Amino acid sequence: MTETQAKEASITKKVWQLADIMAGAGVGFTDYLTQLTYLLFLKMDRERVEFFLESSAVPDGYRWEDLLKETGEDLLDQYEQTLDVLSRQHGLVGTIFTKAANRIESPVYLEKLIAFIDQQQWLLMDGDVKGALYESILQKNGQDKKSGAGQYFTPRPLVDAIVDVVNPKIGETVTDPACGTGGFLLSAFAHMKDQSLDEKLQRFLRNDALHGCDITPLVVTMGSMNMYLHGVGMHSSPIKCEDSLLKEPQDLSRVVLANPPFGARASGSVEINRPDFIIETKNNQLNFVQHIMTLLERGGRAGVVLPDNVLFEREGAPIREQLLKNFNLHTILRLPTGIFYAQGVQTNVLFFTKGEQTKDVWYYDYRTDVKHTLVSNPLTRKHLDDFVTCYCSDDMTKRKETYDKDSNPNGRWRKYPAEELLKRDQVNLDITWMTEAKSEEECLTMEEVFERMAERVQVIQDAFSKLQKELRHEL
Amino acid sequence: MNFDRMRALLLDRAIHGQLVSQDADDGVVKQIGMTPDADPFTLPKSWRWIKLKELVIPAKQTIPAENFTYIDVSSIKNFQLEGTKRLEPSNAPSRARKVVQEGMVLFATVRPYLKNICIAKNLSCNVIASTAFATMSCSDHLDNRYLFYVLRSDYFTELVKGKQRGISYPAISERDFYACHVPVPPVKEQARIVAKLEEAFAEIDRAKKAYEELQTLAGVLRGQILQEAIEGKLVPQLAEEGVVEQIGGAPEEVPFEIPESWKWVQMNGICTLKSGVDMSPSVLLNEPVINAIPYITGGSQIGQSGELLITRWTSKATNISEEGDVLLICKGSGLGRTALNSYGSVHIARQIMAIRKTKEVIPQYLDLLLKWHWETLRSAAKGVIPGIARKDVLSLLVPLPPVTEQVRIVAKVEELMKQVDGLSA
Repeated sequence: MTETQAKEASITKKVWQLADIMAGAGVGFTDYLTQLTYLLFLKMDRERVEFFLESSAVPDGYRWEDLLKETGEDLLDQYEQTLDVLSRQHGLVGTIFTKAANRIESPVYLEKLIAFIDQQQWLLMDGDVKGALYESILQKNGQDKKSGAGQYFTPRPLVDAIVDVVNPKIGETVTDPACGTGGFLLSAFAHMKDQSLDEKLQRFLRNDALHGCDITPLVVTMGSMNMYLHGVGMHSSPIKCEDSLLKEPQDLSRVVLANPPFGARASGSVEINRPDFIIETKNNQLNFVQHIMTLLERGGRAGVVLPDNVLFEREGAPIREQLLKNFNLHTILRLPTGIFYAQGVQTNVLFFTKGEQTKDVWYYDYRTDVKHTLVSNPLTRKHLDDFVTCYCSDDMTKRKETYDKDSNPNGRWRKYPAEELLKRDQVNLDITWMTEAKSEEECLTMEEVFERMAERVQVIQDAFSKLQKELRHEL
Repeated sequence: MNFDRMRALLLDRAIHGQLVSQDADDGVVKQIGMTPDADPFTLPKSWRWIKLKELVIPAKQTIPAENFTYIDVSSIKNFQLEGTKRLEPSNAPSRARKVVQEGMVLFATVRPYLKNICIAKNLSCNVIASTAFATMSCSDHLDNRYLFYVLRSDYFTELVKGKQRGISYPAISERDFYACHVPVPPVKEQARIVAKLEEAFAEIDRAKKAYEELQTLAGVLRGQILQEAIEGKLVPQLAEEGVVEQIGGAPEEVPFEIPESWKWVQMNGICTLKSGVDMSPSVLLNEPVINAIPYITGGSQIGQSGELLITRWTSKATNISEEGDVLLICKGSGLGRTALNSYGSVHIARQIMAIRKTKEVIPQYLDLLLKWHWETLRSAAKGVIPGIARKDVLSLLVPLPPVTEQVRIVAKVEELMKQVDGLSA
């Protein structure tokens, strides 16, 4: 184990220990995580001044050193005031502290947390180390059912595979209109950052290439911090707290990656008035599909995680027609259950390009006979290797079906001409051709099954007669 | 089939000295330490009641200093070690203390009634068990396999249960544990008992495995019978029974070929569907009164063989199913199961749909069709809103034979299913 790894491990351990202590004081994990984020930001701001002699981004009187001066109830007061003032700031500070409020009501526990953060030097830690550290905490939170934060979390192996095939290039813009803690944006960042040494391109990548929105203040805080720790958006956060669906996007994007929220739009939400939309609906994912269709530049590429109903629901038929006629919906990846926090939801990834017509839709069925669970058999990036290979990201004309009507009817990779799909009732795109593997028993004829049953009965009878001898009359 | 009960009976016989015969050449066990105040049960003359602490040596304790294999209560399944984890000393739980050596017997003193007991075998180096185990090696007077079986016996479990303390975390102290008396035969006899038990348990395992395979096969067979019935292969077609008239449009694509006298129809052509509605508990009665009819909530009120289990009544019924309807559980537990309403008028709640036949079909055949479509319905119910929707049922495509043939099919299926039940019971 290298020194940095050891250090990371020991800090992570400490973070969990504190989580337990806080839980004992009634501070839930997600709340703890946000408070940790606020304090960490203040401490790093302080370090920036100390080590790099930069000017503080935080107004005088609300900095780390001001917190250190206080104890007890005075500390609580100071902390609460700090959060209040900073949540009304502009730029990065305002975004990190979006709707910030204190959740640690006991001064003793707040002191503990402050003391822990004060001991470490965070800024000097390698960007990858502190980023990885924070990311690992977010992931753990995402797996924690009790915190409920899992609903914001797309499994990272899936995110990485989507980024690999959509293949954003340095210099391109990447947007996630429902970005959560920033998984897609960061994966895209990691994908692009070694593509060029050109300083201008690197600056663009760090400051202007990535854009994210989310409606939940909590994840905006975590997402922004996540980006900040990875060295993205040092002056203003690429993530904004807003409802993407409310208005037409001002800036179009070259690449869109998203896993929008499923279900109906919450009642009481502001009504959507979007002349650019094809249909009016309460269905969240259909709305996001339409939003993304607008958001893309001509020639722009998208990879979007969507539930099955987008493929067949009556309401969505005109949207599907558009996707086939004015977009190139070239690929649909069908996913198995057991990879998301939400149980039993059947999902797909739709890949499309704006401004060309669809000729064929290529389906990859990673669902039939695939079983994953979050704990005992989680999805890994390796599981998606075959899909990534089939996709032929650098030249889609090289794609070859693995399905063959006669020689391989259970091939996972198969194309359907758009013309045929458009003729289907409701432009239904919910297609499977694979048959679930039958168990050996299911392939037997009735006579054979009867025969085997008789054999089993014989085995049981033999065993019983032997046992009966041992137990005499007691059986 | 109660295989566990059989094992318990064998163990009970074993520790009473009734599984193998005594042999005078084996000698007599020498009493060590105190005898119990009263013998829990009578033993053969050559046996003795001896406290565990006189017979075993508890494991040493240590604080892990290098990487080790950790055994905790969850590492034992079916009386065997399974899924131990390798840990670094820095991640060692504070309970990881007991040094395990090959052949030691582990007995979980926490929740002892769960019988987390095993013999430590095929160990990697550096194995440490949780303090939740009494971890012991045996002296010369005791065969570790015999001890293992004694600890598994109902006698011992009951003994320990009487001594456990705590409600949320019931456990027996090590001191109390080691003070328990166990029946001890001569060492040679112990070996014979162990051999006998191992042989008998292997036999039980074989029977159990065969029984489980039998159940799987029976399931497959039931499915095949249903499939043959629906394809028209179970009973011959008779010309005098005529030809079914097409109801609604003929489908363009059909799942498979059916006899010429049959037709493919949509469910909505041969039945009507009534949805249920929940009633406020205030209008439900625990006793029947005049004008009250049964209230059927959901799956819990439909028995294994499809009979209605009636526990509540209402006199304000609105959504009423009549005799001859097929009831389908469309939400909640038992989703997709069906039952024939042979009772008469009942009110159905939200989790039930009543499917009423039209004149082209008999109820039992309708029931067969729904059973055949069980998987389609179950997967339809997995959508964003879980549950079977009206249209899921009404849009099903089904093969329809002439009514008199339906009667013959249903009778044949019933006969065959009885045979399968007989074989697999």
